[in-house]
Amino acid sequence: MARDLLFEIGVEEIPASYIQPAIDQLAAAVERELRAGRLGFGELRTFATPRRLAIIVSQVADEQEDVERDVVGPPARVAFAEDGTPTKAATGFAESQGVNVADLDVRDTGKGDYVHVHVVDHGSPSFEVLPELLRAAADSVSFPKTMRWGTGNRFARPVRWLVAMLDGVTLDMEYAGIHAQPETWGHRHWSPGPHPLAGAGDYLDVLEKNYVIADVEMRRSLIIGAAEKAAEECGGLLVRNDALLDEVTFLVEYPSVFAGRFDEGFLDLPREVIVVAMKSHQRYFAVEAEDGSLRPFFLCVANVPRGQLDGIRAGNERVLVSRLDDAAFYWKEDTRGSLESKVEALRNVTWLEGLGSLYEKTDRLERLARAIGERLDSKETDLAVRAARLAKADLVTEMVRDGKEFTELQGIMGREYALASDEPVGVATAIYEHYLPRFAGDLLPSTEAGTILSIADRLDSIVGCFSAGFIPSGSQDPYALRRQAIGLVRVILEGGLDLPLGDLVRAAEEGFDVAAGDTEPVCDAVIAFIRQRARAVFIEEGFAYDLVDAVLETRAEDLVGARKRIVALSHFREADDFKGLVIGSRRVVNILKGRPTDKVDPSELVEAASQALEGARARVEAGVASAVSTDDLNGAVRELLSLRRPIDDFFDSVMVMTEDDKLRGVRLALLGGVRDLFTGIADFSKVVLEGEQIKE
Amino acid sequence: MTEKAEGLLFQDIMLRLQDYWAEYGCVILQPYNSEVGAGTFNPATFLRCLGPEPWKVAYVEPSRRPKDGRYGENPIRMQQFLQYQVLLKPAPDDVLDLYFRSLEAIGIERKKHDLRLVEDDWESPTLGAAGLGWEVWIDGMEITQFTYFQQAGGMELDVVSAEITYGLGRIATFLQGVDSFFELEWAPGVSFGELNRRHEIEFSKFNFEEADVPFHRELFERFESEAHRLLDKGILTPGYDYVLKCSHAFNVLDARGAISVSERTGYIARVRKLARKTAILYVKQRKELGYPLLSGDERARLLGDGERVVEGGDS
Repeated sequence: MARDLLFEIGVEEIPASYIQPAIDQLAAAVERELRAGRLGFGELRTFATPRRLAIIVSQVADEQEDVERDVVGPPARVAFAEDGTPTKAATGFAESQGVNVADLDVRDTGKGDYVHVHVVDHGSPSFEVLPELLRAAADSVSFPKTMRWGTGNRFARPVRWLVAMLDGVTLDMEYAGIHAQPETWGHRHWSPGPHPLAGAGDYLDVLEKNYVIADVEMRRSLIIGAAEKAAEECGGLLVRNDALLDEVTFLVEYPSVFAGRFDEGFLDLPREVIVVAMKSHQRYFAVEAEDGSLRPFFLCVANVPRGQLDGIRAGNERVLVSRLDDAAFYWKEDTRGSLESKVEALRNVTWLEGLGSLYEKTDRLERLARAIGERLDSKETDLAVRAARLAKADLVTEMVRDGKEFTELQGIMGREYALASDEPVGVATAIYEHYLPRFAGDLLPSTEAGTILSIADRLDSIVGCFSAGFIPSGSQDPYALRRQAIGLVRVILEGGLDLPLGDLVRAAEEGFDVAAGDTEPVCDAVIAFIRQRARAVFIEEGFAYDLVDAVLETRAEDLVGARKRIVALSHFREADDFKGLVIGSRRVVNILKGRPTDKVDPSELVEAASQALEGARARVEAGVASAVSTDDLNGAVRELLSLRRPIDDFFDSVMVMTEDDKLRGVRLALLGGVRDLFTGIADFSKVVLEGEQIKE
Repeated sequence: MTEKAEGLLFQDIMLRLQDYWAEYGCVILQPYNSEVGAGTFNPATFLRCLGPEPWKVAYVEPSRRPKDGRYGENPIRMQQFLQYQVLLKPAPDDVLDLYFRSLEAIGIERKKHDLRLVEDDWESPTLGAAGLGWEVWIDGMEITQFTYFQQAGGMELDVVSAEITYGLGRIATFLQGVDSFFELEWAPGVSFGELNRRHEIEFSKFNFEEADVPFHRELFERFESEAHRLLDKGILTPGYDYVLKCSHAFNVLDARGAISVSERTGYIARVRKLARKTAILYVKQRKELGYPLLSGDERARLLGDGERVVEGGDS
């Protein structure tokens, strides 16, 4: 026999972003506990709303599976007297296994005769074991934040009811101070309850009758369908926003979508301002026309049945208008003067404690943007420098400084105010783009000026913080320097920019008051820090960590070049000569360790193998140089691979560490030349071969 | 003005809430007589939420946030506004229902509106207080802040209180169907604007333009040292009064633009230190008084056979 299990934790409204992870964890934990508890089951389904996390498991076995095991006890000669009567050792062993002495037998284990018993642990009924399993599963759910409410328990919000039923029977269990009852609760305002349940079978029906759609996907698709329809009725299209959709799906139990209107005059505000006013605080979707322009409508997902929407619409319209009014007020105030006129006010805004004002940062950004632009020989250098001047000015505008939800529009407002101040479009775009990328997977700057400024801003922040000793450690990274460094790496890589890190860092360092003796240590620390992030970026891209390490070991400063080399090495990893070359290069590196080498004079090489290696080296050197000069890194690696045989032959026939000082010097010099060839591509000795221990 | 007639007068809203919570068993108190930034600063909340004793209280609190002044031009933002504050300690299991029923008491039909609880965790850096809860929305408008206190005066709270803070202005605009606080009808023929607009204009001028900066800096320093002096002597209530004055002086300086970003944290930490000192002193004082609001059994358990514990002067 088997029965369906229903487990529901009823909670006061859980924060929307917590719910999906919580139900996923709960489901995984229930499954894990059932398996560990040896309870067979069929399918597991999950349900979640702001007020409940629920799981239905079909066909849960009525009893745990039996466990059979063989146990070996004391040696037979100890357990039984010569006449065969059991000693204390035998009775003690039988007792410890819960069997009679008569059940014991004797087996030859290979090491002699030992007492043995076959034990069957009979499973307990599901009713008895489930409460503990479910409690353990619920306890294992973690939330970003938890609270106490008086029962000594912690959860995202107070737990208020509990359902735990096997078919029609309620389990005798308690969780978070609540005893399980055969009843659930409906919509908080429309049909609170309690509503009796017959079990898993009528759970969804009972809830739906009481204005709760417990199935997450069903709620989500109801919302999309209704939103698309409502948008169409306003003569427009729904502006899709998956993050917002996820959020509203977990803000309501019984969704209804309606469209509201606002005055067309507000459409003069920048699109992002309107969208943020709707989305960030009110959680409304926007509606756009075929041509992508906004329409004066919003879509609200209410937590009510249809039919009561008119009054609700009016209220929501009023709230949105007051937010748009605020935005319009800020816009009017901010556009009284030009964006340039706000730069002066940056003097009064501290950038970071001990690192001066945003005005000083602006000065540094202008210089750094110029240095980077010139280094890249960019035609947009002047645009980038102008954008640097204005990049931070929006932080002192009313909209961004004081505008509550509008503060997230930093950069975007800079762009809009620059346009309103008749700055060139290239400057406006660069102001916006200098914040890109803002998070993993975000857009990258699309213009040269934006790229230059994005690099300058990140460098300035990282170098500034390192110079002041604000260095990330462990989980401590208050200024998000890791994220900024990853952004920097991505921008340089995607742009294919020839920007040696050392030059960049030293240029950025000039803007700070770094004591003379500290400049090199700070520079080294910053480069090591960026290199670590680059390593992570490459590995994230799917490259093997050892190839990444092999390349970064010799090319930490040139990210674009490093990436090309990693690609080439990855291409040849499976080639016939690759493994041989790695081993050969290790021998070279090991033998040279700590030994100075001179330049080789080919005429002094006596053995054929030495001469052959030097010949190959010279040929490969030219080949690699020519391949690298045309950016053909595959060609360069192919050249290196051709060294494999000459290296092997050399080590097979030549004894490097001879007693003859001169000869030894010549041979070491030869190998030094070979090593230098590798160094131009990668430190092959860092490559991990199949079957080797990974050493990080 | 037929629209207005449908909703309650502003003063009726307060009266009905008073009735509702008095009926429930709350002590109905009056506002505190010193400037506070929110009803939470009133000792009836900030101090009473500490320690093991039960407490149920409700009161109106005129709250001052100098920075929020808009010269009477913004319809819903002002430097002084009215909160209706309820503190229930310990938080009853049905506290959310109690709250929603209070909305019915002021004429809000639950089935005619979209009432929602949207995550909003609360923190007061100056009070060293924090809690988890929601903002309550009605048809998209935030009308109440609901918080389960977890910490106050830098101390973890063993007994969790529920704090309900109604934004009376917003609720009234909703009920009366008007867009601006100033248009609200407070009493028959007397508007909120008549009572408060002039006051808003003048205080905005004071907070943003006129408040004497060196004078307020000096006030902050003097209030701070007076608060420390009193609290160190174990004189609780006057000491806390000066903590509040200190906090308000900071708010005026902040509105006046006299506090740089870097100074801010330092000022807030100084007020928090005072708040913490007050909280510790209050907890000690209640214990010395023998927890008068606790039932006999609980008191005996906490004090050990009812014996009054008087501690030495360490603080």
